[in-house]
Amino acid sequence: MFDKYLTYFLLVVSVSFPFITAIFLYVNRKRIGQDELFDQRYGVLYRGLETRKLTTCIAFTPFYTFKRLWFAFVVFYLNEHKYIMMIANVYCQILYMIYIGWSFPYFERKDNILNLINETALVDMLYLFFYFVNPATDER
Amino acid sequence: MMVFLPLLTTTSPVVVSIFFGVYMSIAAFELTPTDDLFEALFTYKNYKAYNSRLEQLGFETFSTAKNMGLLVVLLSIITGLYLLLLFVMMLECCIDAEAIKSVSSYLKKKLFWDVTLGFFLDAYLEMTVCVFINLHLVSLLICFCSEANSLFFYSLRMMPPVKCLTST
Repeated sequence: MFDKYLTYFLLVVSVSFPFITAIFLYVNRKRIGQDELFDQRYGVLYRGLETRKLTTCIAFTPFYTFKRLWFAFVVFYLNEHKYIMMIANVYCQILYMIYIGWSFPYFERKDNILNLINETALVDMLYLFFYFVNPATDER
Repeated sequence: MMVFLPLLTTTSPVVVSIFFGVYMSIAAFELTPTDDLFEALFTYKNYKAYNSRLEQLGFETFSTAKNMGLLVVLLSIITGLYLLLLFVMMLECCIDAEAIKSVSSYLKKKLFWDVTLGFFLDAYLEMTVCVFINLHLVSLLICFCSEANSLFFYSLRMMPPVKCLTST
């Protein structure tokens, strides 16, 4: 019973998190970096980000969480179609990398470069994992 | 996210699986084993892992709580802190003490919403994967029901086997 309620609670949280964060940050966009109390309370949603670039500041956390949600969704619901699953992830990852490279969201330059390296490594690894995808030996 | 990449593959060398399994235990905050604790507190049906790939990565059952491990304990602590804050706020109304006020203001500052949002952001992928594993069990059961054509056959199959009382 506990497991069931925990699952439904976490499902609601995980699915709604990117959208609610986006709406919340957009509604309160004027308070980001201006209101000290707001920064103290919700600063974790844009910690380390350049607050002068409002669009980036609003969009980063929703994109970040949506990418993870997409990954989990694709892994479990496109499991029957291995190559589509891989390509869906590669495209999502590349789009995210383009966004990171275009916006440079972090305040510190070295954070931006590290983030880009991290995302590039992820794309490389995704391409490497194509080697291990064998639709003929699916376990279920 | 890199740790979760083996979820995409069907086959991977054993060494790679072990390597990612070790990394997964770090990424999933598995500092201490919690399976015995959950088994003592709650009753679970013995569903095995969805497949060996998930089992190697540390998702050994369909249960969300068991798969999340220490994260559920942390989530419980956060919930407990909210209850403690409620209690302290009630005390604050009755007793005018400086210590209670400082505890209350500290809890308010941390819980609304720094700690809570930080927890959900850091544990987001692990949490989502565990939830989808559990939901997959639900969808598997639904498929099983539709194959049996009715809930009646499903319930018959789920019934424990009847022991026949035979004389020896």
